[in-house]
This record gives sequence, structure tokens and C-alpha cells, in this order.
Amino acid sequence: MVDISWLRKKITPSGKVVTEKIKMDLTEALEEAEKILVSEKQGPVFTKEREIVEKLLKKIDDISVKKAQWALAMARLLEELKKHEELTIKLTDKFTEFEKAFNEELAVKSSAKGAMTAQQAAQMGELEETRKETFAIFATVFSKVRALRDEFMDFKKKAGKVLVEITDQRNAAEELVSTLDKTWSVYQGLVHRLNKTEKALNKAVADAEEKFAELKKRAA
Amino acid sequence: MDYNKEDVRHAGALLAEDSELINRVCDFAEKSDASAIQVLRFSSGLPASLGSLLIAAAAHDRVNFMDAHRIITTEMQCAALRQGTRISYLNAVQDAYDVLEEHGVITSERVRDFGDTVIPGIAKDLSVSLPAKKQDDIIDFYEARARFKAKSQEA
Repeated sequence: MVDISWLRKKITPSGKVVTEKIKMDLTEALEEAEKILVSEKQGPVFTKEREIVEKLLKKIDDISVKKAQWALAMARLLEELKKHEELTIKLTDKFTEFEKAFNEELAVKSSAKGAMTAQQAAQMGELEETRKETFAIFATVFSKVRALRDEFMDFKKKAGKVLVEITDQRNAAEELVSTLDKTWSVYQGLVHRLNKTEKALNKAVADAEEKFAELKKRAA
Repeated sequence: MDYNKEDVRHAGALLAEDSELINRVCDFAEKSDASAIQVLRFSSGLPASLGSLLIAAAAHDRVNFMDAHRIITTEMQCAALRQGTRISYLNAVQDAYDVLEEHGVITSERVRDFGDTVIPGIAKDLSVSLPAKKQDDIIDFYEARARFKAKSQEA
């Protein structure tokens, strides 16, 4: 049994690398060095941090999906609004026609006052027909526009609620991004420390190997 | 469907005494869905015909004459169906108009007011550009996300 004394690099719980002088059996020392290297190199590192990062990213993606849905709904709404606009213009036009026919009829009625002449009666009949026709079209357009307006107002109400919800989610997302930034900094710090530790371990192994070679040479 | 002066006077008296009834009629008149099923459902249990109530309410400016007209048109079609006959939509539209005119609901003041307030009101409601500001917010959000992603990839 060959005893060796060597300097071993060790990481404290706070992440600081310290050197200690130890004396042990050579075989045991090499076994330990190998064990450290294998476990440190192959073992899972930063599992917890990775989990946190993945969870945060998933949450942000979920919110992004909702945002995309909202944007799509908005685009559809804009298309709908174009149709509404056309129909509203039609409503105004038809009402103007109806109002004109209505007023003309009233004017004739008022000028006739008592008994109508045959000419006035014929004119009245014609105006009545015009008023009937324009009113029928106007009433149909008005009905459609009213239905669209109510549908739209209902949508706006619902959309308002969704918007509040999305604003809340957006705030939550911003908070998550900030947490993610902090986690990322910690992760980077840990990687830096791991690199330092790896170097220290490599140096320890190299020292041990050199010592071992020297001992073998001396034994021979 | 016949809405005589007596029916309308009776409906007016009922509305004057029963505030809950007038609220019900007003709420219904403001709803856009005046489909036959809705009209039939609403009419059941009313103390007077829906048409009479609407004429009386419109005569006192509690409901808009065009809303009253829209529902009376549907009510006329429902009444025709109940009697096993049919009435075309355009005929019902004209008949409802004639009924309102006969009861003095359609006046030049109401027509003018309709053109001055109701139509611009509807047009305003329909052309509200809700998405403009919100779309900016959405774009801002995606840009922030893209910046964050790029930053993460660089690191």
C-alpha cells in the first residue's frame, strides 16, 4: 500500500473553490478522483433551474396563443365592420328617400285641406305608392342594421371582458419575463462556477496522475 | 290583425298603471330579435295584445315607432299563421305602417327625430373603431416577446 499526500480542490456549499492537503492510499485517491469526475461530468446539472425555465416559457407561450386568438378576432371584427358601414350608408339613403316621400305626401295633404281635386287625388295616390315602396325597403334595411348593431354591441361587451383578462395576463407575462431574466442570470452564474470547478478537478486529476507516475517510477 | 281605438286606449291605460308592464314592453321593443317565436313567447300572458301595447307605448314615446313597427310586422305574420293564412313580409310591413299611421304614431316630428338621432346613433355604434389602440398593444406585446427571444438566444 502506497500512501500519497496531495492537494485536493474542493467546492464549498457557497460555491467557493478551496484547496486542502490530504493524505491517503494511492488507489483510493485515484478511485475517488475518477468517481468525482464521472459523477460531476455525467450527472444531471441544473435540473431544477431547467424545469423553472421550461415552465415559464410554457406559460408565456400559452399567453401568446391567447393574444394571437385575440388578434384574429379583431381582424374578423374589422371585416365585419366594413359590411356594417356599407349597410349603415344604405340605411341613411333609404331613410332620406322615405322622409322625402313622407314630407311630399304631407305637403300635398296639407295644401289640399278640404276636398281634393282629381289631379291632387292622383298625385296623392302616386306619392302614397312611392312612400309605401321606399318605406318597405327602409324598414327591411333598418331591421338588418338593428340586428347587426345589437350583435356588434354584444360582441364589444364580451370583447371588453376578454381584453381585461388579456391585460391581466400580459402583466403576468411581463412579471414572468422578469423572473425568467433573473433565473437566467443565476443559471449563467452556475455555469461559470461549474466551469471553474471542472478546471479544478482536471488539475487535481492531473496532479494525482503525475504523482502516481512518479511513484511508479520510484517503485521501479 | 285589427287594432281598434278601444284596444289601444285599453292598452294605454294598462301601461299607465303598471310600470313593470311598460318596462317589459320597452325591453322587448329594444331587442333586435323580433322573430316569430320570440313574439309568440312574449305575447303569451300579456293583458292586452302586443300590437296594442306597442302602439300605445310608441304614441307616448316610450318606444321608438320603428321598433314598434318591426315587432307589429312580425306579430301580424304570426296572427296570419295562427289563422291558417299567410301574409307576405312586404304586405305585413305596409299593414303595420298603416296601423301606426292610423293611430297617429307616425308624425313628421317623430320621423325627423328618427333621422336626426336614431340613425346617427346606430351609425356611431357601428363605426366605433375598437381595435385600433388594442391592436397597437398586441403589436407591442409581440415585439417585446421577439426582443426577449432574441436576447435569450444570444445568451
